[in-house]
Amino acid sequence: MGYVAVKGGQDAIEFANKLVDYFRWKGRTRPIELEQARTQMRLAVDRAMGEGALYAPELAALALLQVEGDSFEAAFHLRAYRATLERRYEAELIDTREMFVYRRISSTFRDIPGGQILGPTRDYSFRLLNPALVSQTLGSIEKFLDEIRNEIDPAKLHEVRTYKKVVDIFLKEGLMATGARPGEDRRVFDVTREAIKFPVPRSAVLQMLARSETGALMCMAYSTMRGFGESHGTVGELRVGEVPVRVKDKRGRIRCIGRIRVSEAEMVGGSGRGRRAGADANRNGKQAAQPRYSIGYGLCFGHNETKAICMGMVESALRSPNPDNPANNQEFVLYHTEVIESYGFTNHLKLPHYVTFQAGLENGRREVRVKEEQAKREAVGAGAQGAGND
Amino acid sequence: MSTLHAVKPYDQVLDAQKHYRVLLQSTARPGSIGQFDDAAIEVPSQLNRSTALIVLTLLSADVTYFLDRADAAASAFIEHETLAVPTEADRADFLILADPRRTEALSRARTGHLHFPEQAATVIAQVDAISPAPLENALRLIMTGPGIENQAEVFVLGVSREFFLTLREKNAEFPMGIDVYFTCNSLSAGPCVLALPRTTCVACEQI
Amino acid sequence: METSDYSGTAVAGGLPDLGTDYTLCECELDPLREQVAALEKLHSIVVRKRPSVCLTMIPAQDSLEGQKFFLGEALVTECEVTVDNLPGYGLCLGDEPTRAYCMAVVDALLHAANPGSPRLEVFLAEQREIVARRDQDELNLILQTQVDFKLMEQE
Repeated sequence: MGYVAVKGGQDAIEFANKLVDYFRWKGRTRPIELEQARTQMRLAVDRAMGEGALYAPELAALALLQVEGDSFEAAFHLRAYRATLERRYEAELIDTREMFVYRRISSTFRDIPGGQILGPTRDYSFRLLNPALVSQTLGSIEKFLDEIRNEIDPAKLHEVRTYKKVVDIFLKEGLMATGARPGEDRRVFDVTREAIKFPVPRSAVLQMLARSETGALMCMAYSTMRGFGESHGTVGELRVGEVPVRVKDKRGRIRCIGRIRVSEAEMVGGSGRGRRAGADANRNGKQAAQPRYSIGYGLCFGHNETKAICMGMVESALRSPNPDNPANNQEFVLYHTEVIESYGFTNHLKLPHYVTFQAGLENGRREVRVKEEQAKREAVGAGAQGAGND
Repeated sequence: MSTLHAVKPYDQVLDAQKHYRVLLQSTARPGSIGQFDDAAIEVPSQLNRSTALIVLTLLSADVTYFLDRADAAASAFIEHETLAVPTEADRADFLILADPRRTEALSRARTGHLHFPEQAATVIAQVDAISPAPLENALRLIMTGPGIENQAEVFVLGVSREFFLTLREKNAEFPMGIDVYFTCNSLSAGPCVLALPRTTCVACEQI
Repeated sequence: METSDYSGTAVAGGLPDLGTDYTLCECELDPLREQVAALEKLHSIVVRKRPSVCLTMIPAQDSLEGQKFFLGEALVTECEVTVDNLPGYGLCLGDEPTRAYCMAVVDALLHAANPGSPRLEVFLAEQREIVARRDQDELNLILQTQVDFKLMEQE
């Protein structure tokens, strides 16, 4: 069976592109403004940036509008655009301890430094559809924005500040330790510059998970919770907010270029460093007793809690390779969650794959011919032998 | 074409695209002389216009380069326009040879690895003239190999036989090797380029 | 850079001081453009590199083991000018050619031997105040969601 190359259809293809626009506009509804998409579809924009691996909210909003909301196509468009640009700078390491926090919770500890801040979340909503949303006007929006300020309880206010991490509690108690795991490959890999070969170092895992498709990553993470893996982490800390980005300019001076919105999850799990010496391990952590806990780390562009949490779970799972559990297998996880790879390959099946049976038919016919000739030869041989015996 | 003619300003996208196409085409058909549409850029004295246009097309912050002449203006041009990082000849992704009669830098250039032959260096060698017709004192190059029907004959002035001997040694173990671009300013044709990919065999004789 | 101590009480400084750069990245574009338009009349400004978009790769590291990795690239706009022959560089997130140009001009002036222009200083202080207030306003609302979950047995 072989594939047959085809050509032609240029006119039909060009019209198909136009037909996309026809289907977009035939309802004759008012065009959606870029700023509307960027501000009112904030989470879709953030997801597109994370999967497109390009932090550019206006472009992500444009992509979503252009592709009529298809998240895979939006990521695809952003990756394509990114490929046309030069990378002229590498920023300084960002520090999520500097985050301007919107939301910051821990499921592991009730009391955490600075307190639990729910932030903007639907976690506690009942998921009831709200038809009133569509009758909002600019006037009613202004009224809402004014009135919400009237509900501020001054007792809860303090000045803008940063928050210490929950991880620091674990460190102080000696339950976790900083520093590398012995024997682990600490190389800093850039998958956008170097092709991957398995096993990849942890930096490549983190980079690929940060740009992975959210749904696929969720599938992998959930599988680790359901017994196809070995981890069941708890959320040590989940933070969503803005972190400053700094870049060294041509004069060598460090410049702040703004803040980016990120989601960070620290999933508490086993340390993977060996068994704990005992319940009364030295509290100061100075003994040779191994730290008991470690974190699976998740960090991604935009407000995408699911991705950050699942990233933490999966990267933790990948540090204990296990052939029985798919989510503990680097190749299984990294290839199948890479959005362009998986979307591209599954969808490429739609492009002409016209198959010719000609070669197969010819092989079949030849086989029959060969068998017939062989049978004839054997019949003649037997006959000749028979004749010789007379 | 002299720079006295009115030339349009350099467009980072469209000109780079066009010039890249010229490079591709001349690499695919070694022996043909590629011509760049010139653009209004200020080029330092040690670089010819063709070299400058190739630098703008191919170099970026992600690559390293070596210049065989210590020239502040040329280095500043390359680094300001492309952010390419200067380094030693044996480490550079691109070697820019203002004087290809000398072969020391060429002999140290990277030739890549068996599994990663593309990690070899690309050499841009500035010469005085490139011509399909005989030139006095020039080297006559007879080129054969992929992309050339039978053979191609080109005359180059400003490079030594040693250059080609050294190059042959560097290219002895295909797929490892070096790809070379000869560049010159031609009065009649403007910035020109002659590609010598590692797949091309060159025999040369002094006229 | 100070962080809050274990008990979570605030320390002086709060969020890291991100400086003039941050103020100019975040302020409204119109006042910035007007300010620079006024400066254009007083100084000789030459654009060395027109504002152009490019990428900045952003590295991060995990909070415990400090493993560096590449989070992803951000779209930025950069611009290079000289103001009275002094170089200035503007760099900001997003596709913002006017802002990058204005930032480059201000950058050059702020590093001049005679910083001069008290009007510029006043403008920067005003904008800094506006941007800081915006953060505080938003935080005031966010802090309304601070929660202290009680165990079931507690009142």
